[in-house]
Amino acid sequence: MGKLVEIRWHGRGGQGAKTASLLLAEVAFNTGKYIQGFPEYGPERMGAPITAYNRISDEPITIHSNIYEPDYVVVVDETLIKSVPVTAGLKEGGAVIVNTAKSPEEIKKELNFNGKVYTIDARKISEETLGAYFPNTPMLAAVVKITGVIPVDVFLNDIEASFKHKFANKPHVVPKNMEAVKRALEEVKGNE
Amino acid sequence: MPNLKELSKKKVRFTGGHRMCAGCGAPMVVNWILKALDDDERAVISNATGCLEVSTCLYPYTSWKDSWVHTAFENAAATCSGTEAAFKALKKKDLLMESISS
Amino acid sequence: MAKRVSLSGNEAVAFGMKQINPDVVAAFPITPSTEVPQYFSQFVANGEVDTEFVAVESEHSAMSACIGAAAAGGRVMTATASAGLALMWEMLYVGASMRLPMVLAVTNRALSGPINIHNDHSDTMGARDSGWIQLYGESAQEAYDNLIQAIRIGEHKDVQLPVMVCYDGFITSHAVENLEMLDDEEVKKFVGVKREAPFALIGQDPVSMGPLDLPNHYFEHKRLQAEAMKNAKKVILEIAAEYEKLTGRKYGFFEEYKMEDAEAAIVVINSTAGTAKFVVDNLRAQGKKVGLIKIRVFRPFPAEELAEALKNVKAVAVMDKADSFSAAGGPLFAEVRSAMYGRADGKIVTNYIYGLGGRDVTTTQIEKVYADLFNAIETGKYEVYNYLGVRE
Repeated sequence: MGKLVEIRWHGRGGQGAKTASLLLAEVAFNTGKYIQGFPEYGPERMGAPITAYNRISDEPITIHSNIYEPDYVVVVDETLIKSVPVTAGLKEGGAVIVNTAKSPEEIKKELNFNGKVYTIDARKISEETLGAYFPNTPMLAAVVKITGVIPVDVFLNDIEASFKHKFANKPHVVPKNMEAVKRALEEVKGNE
Repeated sequence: MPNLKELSKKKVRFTGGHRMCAGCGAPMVVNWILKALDDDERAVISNATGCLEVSTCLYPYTSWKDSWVHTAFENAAATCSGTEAAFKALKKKDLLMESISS
Repeated sequence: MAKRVSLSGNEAVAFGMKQINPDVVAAFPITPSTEVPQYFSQFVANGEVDTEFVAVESEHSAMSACIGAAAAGGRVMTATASAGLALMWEMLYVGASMRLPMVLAVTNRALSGPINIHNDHSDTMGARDSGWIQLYGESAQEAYDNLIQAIRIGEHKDVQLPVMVCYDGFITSHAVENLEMLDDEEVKKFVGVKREAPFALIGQDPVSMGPLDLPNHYFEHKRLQAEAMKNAKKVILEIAAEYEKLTGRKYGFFEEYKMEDAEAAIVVINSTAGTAKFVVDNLRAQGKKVGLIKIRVFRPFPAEELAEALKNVKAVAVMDKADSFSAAGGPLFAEVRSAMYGRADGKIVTNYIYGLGGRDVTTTQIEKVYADLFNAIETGKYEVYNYLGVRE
């Protein structure tokens, strides 16, 4: 059986964690993988903590439960660290990826977590390249790099094509988004 | 507008032999309402559950010469809205039977 | 040529409806089914289908309008869930007894009360005796495949019955996964252009439909309705064989997963079957003889076939994602145990009510069910009626 990678996303309603999980599913799908992307639904309001999930595999995926022992955890909003047990069930050898300006060491301490911690300042990258706070694009790039669910070069080609399609009416934003992706790939840093 | 004499010559679309009480006004009302149609037109009548409905279409008999449908008590209009939609769709797709496509 | 896509269950169903291009869709939104009429109404507005969309004021009216449209001779589809299905209740029976083919996509959701938007099967299980054919699907793929086959099954001249296509709310309806879609032309050819309506309000001759049916005929009509449901069994398999030729995907009354030499089996419906397959694979890797049966066709109920499939197991656990409050097990359990009586006697047959109101069903829970079964085989001791994953 091909390796099954399970990812859990923590974000706040309206921030796009669900959209990011669906984007990851889409890029993995485009490279021939079997994928699942699904949020945990509730009556979410803007700003409430939400959870979304991805399963990515080379083989068909039949399991339909939520993910309790993820390989990776992605935290889109670092303020959640204080209120949500984001590393719960995280597999040994797994990693947590946090959107923050802090260093991996600082986050590791805050999480009280012994495994691998990666950080990415998606706000800074987003604001400097796109001129506004859209954390999804840099987060997605960081997640692709750290999880290795698809090769980075394949991802770059696919995401560029997808931006060109998505922004067909405003092609000038495509290079800015690609810059955000490339910076995220370079700037995500880890503490193992 | 036609006068009573002319109306009385129009096609009768609702036949006798039903089980409405002698002297009941409902069958006569139905009869006259249906005279609003031209003789070459076909109607679909949607009838709510009630005295008129149970008394005019007891299986295997019917007093209705046009198509007639009954589904429940509270939804004659909703039922008919579906029939109308189907008519529009079949017409648009050119799938109506010859007898009603004119 | 099949197309590889990634879609949610609701998207797959809405796209399937678009390919079928029905005459009338009358629908009212309800979570988690809302997206189906929402996407479909966009197809209507964009002129991508020829369908007349009737925006109604309730599900009761939705089903009434569907009945009116099907009685007129149109090909009719709609979608709902939970309380929406409950509000259709009166009309479900009327539509079935009028022998009107319609296809209703149901995203299974817990029935109020208490109000809950998440998945279980209390909505469609409650409608199991309404006279509708019920097809259940594990995934977006199966929801899509069942939807397309449902058109042909219901419209078959020996059947002429409405069909519910059921799939799990949120778990299937809102999760994006891989599936294969047929080409528009393939679907068009498979379902045909117009449904067979031997009698119709806007057919060749005027007809009266929905008469008062007194004791001298009512029973015969219900008997004919029952016969149509029996006929559906043969037709469902014929249509499945035809669909398999087109797609390579095999469908029957139920799916047998690793049942060949299974000693302990579970019988289950919809998405939990997928989670259970994962558990079966793991237990098989440990040398345990386990299998599962996933019910696809609940109405008509494949009693003989199911008993045959279970004749070699030692113990079977029937999993119900709905309680019937009978104090004697859930609806699937009652059917399965009854089917086995006299055909596959001497087995341990237990019932697990699970996952009510969207309680997540984990691999650990399924492992426990198999462990219970093996324990029952070894010791002969077991509880017949069980609740799985609930705080007692």
